[in-house]
Amino acid sequence: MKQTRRRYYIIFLFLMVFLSACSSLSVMNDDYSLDEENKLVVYTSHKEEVYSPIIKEFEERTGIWVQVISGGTTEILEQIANDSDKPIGDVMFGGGVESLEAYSEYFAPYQYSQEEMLEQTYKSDSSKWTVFSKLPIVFVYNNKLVYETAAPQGWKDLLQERWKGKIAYADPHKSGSSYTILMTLMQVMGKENWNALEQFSNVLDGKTLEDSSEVINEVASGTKLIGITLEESALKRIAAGIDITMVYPIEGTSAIPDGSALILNAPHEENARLFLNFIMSKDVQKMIVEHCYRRSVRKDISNSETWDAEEVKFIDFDLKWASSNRSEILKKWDALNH
Amino acid sequence: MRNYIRRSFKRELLFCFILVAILPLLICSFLMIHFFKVKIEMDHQTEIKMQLSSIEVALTGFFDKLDVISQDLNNNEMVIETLYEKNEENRNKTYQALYASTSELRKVAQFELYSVGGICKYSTSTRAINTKLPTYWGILKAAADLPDALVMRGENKYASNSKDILLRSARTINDNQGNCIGYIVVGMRSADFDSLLSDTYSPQDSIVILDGQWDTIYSTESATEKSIGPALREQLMKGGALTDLSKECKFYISPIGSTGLYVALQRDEVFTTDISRTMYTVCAIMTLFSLMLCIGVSIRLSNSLAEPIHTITEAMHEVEKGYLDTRIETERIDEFGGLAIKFNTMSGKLRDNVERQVKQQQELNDSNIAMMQAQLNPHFIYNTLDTIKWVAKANNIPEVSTLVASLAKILRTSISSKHFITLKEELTLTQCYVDIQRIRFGERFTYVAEIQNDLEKCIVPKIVIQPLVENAIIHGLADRDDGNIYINVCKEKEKLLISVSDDGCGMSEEIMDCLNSRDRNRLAEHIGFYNVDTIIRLRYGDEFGVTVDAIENGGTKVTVVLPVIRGEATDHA
Repeated sequence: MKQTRRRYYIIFLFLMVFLSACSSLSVMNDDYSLDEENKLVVYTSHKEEVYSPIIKEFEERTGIWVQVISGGTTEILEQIANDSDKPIGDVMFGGGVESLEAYSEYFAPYQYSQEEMLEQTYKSDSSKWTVFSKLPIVFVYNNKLVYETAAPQGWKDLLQERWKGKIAYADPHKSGSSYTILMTLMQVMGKENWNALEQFSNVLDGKTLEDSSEVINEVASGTKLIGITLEESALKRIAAGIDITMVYPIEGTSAIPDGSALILNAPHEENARLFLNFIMSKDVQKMIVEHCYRRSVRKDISNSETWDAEEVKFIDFDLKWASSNRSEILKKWDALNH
Repeated sequence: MRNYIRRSFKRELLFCFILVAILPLLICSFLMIHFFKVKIEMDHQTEIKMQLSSIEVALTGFFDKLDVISQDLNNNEMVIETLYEKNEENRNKTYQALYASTSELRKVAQFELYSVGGICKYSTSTRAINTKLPTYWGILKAAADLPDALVMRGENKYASNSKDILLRSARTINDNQGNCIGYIVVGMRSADFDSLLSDTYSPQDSIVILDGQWDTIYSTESATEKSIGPALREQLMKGGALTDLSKECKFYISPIGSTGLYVALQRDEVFTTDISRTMYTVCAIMTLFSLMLCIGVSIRLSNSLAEPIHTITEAMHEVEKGYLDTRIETERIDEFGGLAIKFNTMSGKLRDNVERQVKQQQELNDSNIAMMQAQLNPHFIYNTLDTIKWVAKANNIPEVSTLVASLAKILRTSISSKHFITLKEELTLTQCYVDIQRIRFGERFTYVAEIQNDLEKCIVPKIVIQPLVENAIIHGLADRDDGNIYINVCKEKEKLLISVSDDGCGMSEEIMDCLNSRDRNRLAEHIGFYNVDTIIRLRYGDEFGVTVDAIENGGTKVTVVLPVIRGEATDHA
């Protein structure tokens, strides 16, 4: 009796071995895998058309595999803050420098190897971020609806009663560039000149747009006559054939700088440094000027090749004042609009 | 569990049926599905391997040719000389050279010559040429970095100046001093890939060509989805296995020669979870069906086995209780039918046996009663006889005294509780009887008893000879004036033979037959004879008893056959 039972067990065992041997016959894919040292994780708030050629070129030149996580600036910075114990990303690529400054505790100091080649206008005191490109503020107007001679030439012109309700401008609460526009206006008209703020509010007739990308659409469609936006957006749309004209304010304008930063305790720090050096290199800076309508921060790249010879006047934008008074000014702004 | 099954025949059967029916079914279906899967999987893999290698052959062949052609162009003096030529005639010559050398591949690629500044000078494209490529960026930069080699770049859709070009290959044109004076650029569009790869893959699959970093260069997916490349890349970046990517389809990736490109093939899983589920459901239904069949058949079979067993058990119970008339009615002709017939025979024989026993008991009882009735108040009779003897002696009547003494002797033996006596005592008793009868019948016969001395001590049931002698006197010598009665006791073959012969009138054949056949009903006259026979047979068995023979010149010989038993006469001998 015991012996037969043992025999059954043996047969059963053989069957199981046989079956498991059958099931292991499959899948021919060689296992592809990546070494961690060949990886880089980049957070970016740039649009795909900006980051993808740069990242592709970086990959081709270095052989490093880049994982891109894109999103809104605030969203990404929040995520970096949340993951600060065990960071996933290595580089923050994009985002206004004032936002980067606000989250500077999550970044590691980093200095571009050819620091001397960069403009010093927007330089981080802590080296926590580096300006990647700058986007000047411009006016646009619809050629069909506004005479060239009648078009506003500067900030003062813009505040005239005749443009009331005809200016496209995004909500400064929602758009970082809109806030910078407001700051530029105030700095041009005098920092404590609350009157200018009131006048601007009056001209807008209390109406602001939800999204800064709407500004040019509103002007192009004729809903508004004039828009305040970024040079990059205006040039891109003009190149795409939209019938609008771009004006640099005569009093001077400011350029909104966007930066990049090395995340603290980045898992692939070597590659991150390579990447940060790469984006500041002449090739990339030249590319963004030629193809992305962004202004380079490198001294050895002349922006005038792309743009009209007319020299744009830049004001000395007080970034610290702008960021430290943000909530106060926005409160005043809200009070004016209600 | 084991005991639970063992306790019922039905459960045992069911268990066995399940073991032999369902277990093989389950194993069979499992193996079948499994082997089916493995076989299909293997077929697919070989097919896919062939497809992948044919794609690889097509592409590497193409790139090898490209390499050769671009090298030819690079070595073509005319191309070098006329790259910056403005003269239309010379330009035409260059174009002719370009077209001639690229004739083979022009269908699947577009050849262009670029100046060192990245401006397109010559192009086989059917469209007007106005392309300008940056020399600090992308393909031309890569070509400049690697002179004397054909470099390849997937074109980024945002950076490329001619948007529909997916892949560019480039090589520098060097003058005689080895300086870079321009570039040969080969561009491939989606349609070019389509015609290059046509017939190398089956339409059910999707083919994706990936660059070194697994960015999609070309995909046969419809323009709206293009999800395979990014999904594969994401999975690789996450460090997950590519097989885990999707349950519905499988991916096969293979590098294309030395180009640094990869080809990925996506094929829908043949064994989708849906098909597997269907197959397992069919198996489950079949198992359920055979389980039901097992239960049904085992119930039927166990009933057909258990029912006759039950019947037989019941019948045996009846027999146990004493109803020997119990019979099993069955129409079966198998082993159970045979068993039933045997049972019926057995119970019949049992009944016959019991009936016979009862009858024998009854007979014994009858003779016992008769004997007890005969013993009625024997002491009184004995005392009376004693008195008569003494009275006869006193009155000097010797016949009476002899008669009474003999009778008393006979009575004494017959009323004693002993059932066995020695042969000597038996013969003495017979002598007493003969004495009485001689006085009764006036000495009309003689009586002689012969016995071997050593047999006198043999033990026999009491009163076996006397009835025979009585029979001889009453029937044999009834109407005769002289006669002889002769008793002989001898031993023959370890049997004691006691013969009582007379030379009287003899017995009729009929009565003799009746005696020998022991037919009681017709032996009314010879009841003593019958009793002796019965006593002996009941005591010792049928081989012993009494037989009657006629003697030739008149007379009868009655022979008693007994076993030879020596020793003290005891009741239980």
